[in-house]
Amino acid sequence: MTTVAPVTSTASAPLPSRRPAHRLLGLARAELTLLLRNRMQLFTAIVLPLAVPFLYLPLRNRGMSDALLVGALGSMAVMILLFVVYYNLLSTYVARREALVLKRLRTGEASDATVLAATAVPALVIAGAMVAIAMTIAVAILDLPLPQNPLLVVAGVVLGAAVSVPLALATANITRTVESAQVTSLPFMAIALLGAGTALPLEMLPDWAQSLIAITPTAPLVELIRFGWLGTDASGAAIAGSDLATAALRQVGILVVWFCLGAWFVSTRFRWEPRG
Amino acid sequence: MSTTHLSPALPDPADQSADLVIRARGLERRYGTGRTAHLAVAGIDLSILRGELFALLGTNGAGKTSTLEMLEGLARPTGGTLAVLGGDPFRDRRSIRPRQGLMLQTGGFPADLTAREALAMWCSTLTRARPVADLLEDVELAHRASTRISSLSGGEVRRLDLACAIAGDPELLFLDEPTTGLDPESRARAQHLISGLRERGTTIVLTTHYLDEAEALADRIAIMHRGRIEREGDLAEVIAGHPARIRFTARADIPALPQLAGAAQQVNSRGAAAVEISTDRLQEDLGELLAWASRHDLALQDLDARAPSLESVFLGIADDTPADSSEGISR
Repeated sequence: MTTVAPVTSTASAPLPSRRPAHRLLGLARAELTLLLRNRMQLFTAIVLPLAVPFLYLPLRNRGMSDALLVGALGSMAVMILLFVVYYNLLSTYVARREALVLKRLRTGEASDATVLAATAVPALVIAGAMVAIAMTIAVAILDLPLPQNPLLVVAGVVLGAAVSVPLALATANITRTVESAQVTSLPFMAIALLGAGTALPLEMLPDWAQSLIAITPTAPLVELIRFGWLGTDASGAAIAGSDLATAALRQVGILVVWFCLGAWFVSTRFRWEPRG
Repeated sequence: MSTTHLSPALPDPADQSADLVIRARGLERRYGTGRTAHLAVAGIDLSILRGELFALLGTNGAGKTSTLEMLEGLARPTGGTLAVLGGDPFRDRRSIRPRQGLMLQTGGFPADLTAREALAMWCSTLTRARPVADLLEDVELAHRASTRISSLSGGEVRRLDLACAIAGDPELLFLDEPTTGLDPESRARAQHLISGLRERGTTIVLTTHYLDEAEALADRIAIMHRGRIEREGDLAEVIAGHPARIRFTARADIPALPQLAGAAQQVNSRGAAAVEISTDRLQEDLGELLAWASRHDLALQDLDARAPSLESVFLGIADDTPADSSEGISR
């Protein structure tokens, strides 16, 4: 066990520490530069999300209800977060670790959390902007009403994006190379799409399976978007007042639990250097 | 257990009133548990004084990197006591890091950033960062500032590593093989830069496989072997007590060697005798040997007489190592 030995030292007075936000922005600026120089990542982050709303145009033309279309909007947000945040960051963290960049940054003054968060900042900002733009396009081309409670929509997207970061980091632990991320990301992608109701209609599944899917990291995001946009739940029933608050808090709680679990895993198990 | 020898020019590290920057007692680093446990650092003592340049040498696998990682606060010791800049480098990282600089043996940069951008990124995390342009000048990379990392040579990336290490104007600098991969000219310039830092009062802990670099730069030297410090002191103290060597080969049926002060060892093989003499009285024994060869009309082939040097001390210690781990020694 390490103990600190008493040492006679003429050590100078402690230096005033630079604020973590300053370090975060400095590292994030470099990360943004790198993102802008990577055409493939840029395409995935910006062009792909813009195309997603148009995928739902045939459904509107077939007379799909607003309730179903808003559910589809939730799925759209999940897809954007999956590609712009989760997959993008998974590749980035693996690339930085394999190039020993994380090892270097860890020897500096920035805390572990600052180093990891700074890497995520550009992807999070772009994802937030792209979800907003894609939803605006969707409202225009699908002729949807404006959200009744935008705060719940924003809360869903922000928390959903935040949860994607530790999940990307956790997946990076089992990913040796950027190329292998295409495989290691599949399990979470499948669970995420299932939770978003994109893979198959949830009402086709037994109750126990629906209950299980309801606590996946993406299901609460879609629920919060439904609550905020039309004030309805998954069955299409109107929900308001304290019922809405309770239901929304439950979804927020699920996302917070996922975030805390992911953060705990990363703080105790994250692999900062390539395998020996 | 380490032995402590003292440089006459520096205060006594054993003196508690001396200005110690690093103090380790019984420092230990163990990997794994049970039967598979490996003791990389086996309870070493270290005292490094403010303003000195301390070279930590050793063969690959001697425990240098494990020791450095503990001193740098990158790994937690599994035993012993350690204080760096008056605190625990692992626990008190937040207060100690702004005062120390690290140059890792291997540390990367994002390949798509330019040298200037990479350095600016690093400086943005420091409490007291020097201007990026000055740092690039210091490591002679100003002309490559706009070049992407992916297009820099290995030596240029190494110099950028050095720029990062000194960017925060540290009181304590760890340099892990700083000149590996540099061409001779760049190496000389890097050494000049390191000397300049030492003259300005920076405490430096250096590891290197270039023994001449340690001889030229270090105030004190420690040689590690199998997790322990085998020798420590200034150059004269490290060399002191190590014998000079005389080597030659001759025909196998040579007459009996003359009476020498040193100990001789003769190995006969394929009709030839290989003789090695270890002695503390090089000049006298060499004279005696040459007279003996002349009397017997013997030709001493490959005659090699060497005074003790850091290299001979190092190799003497390393000879005790399995063959596969004594690689990487340059002079």
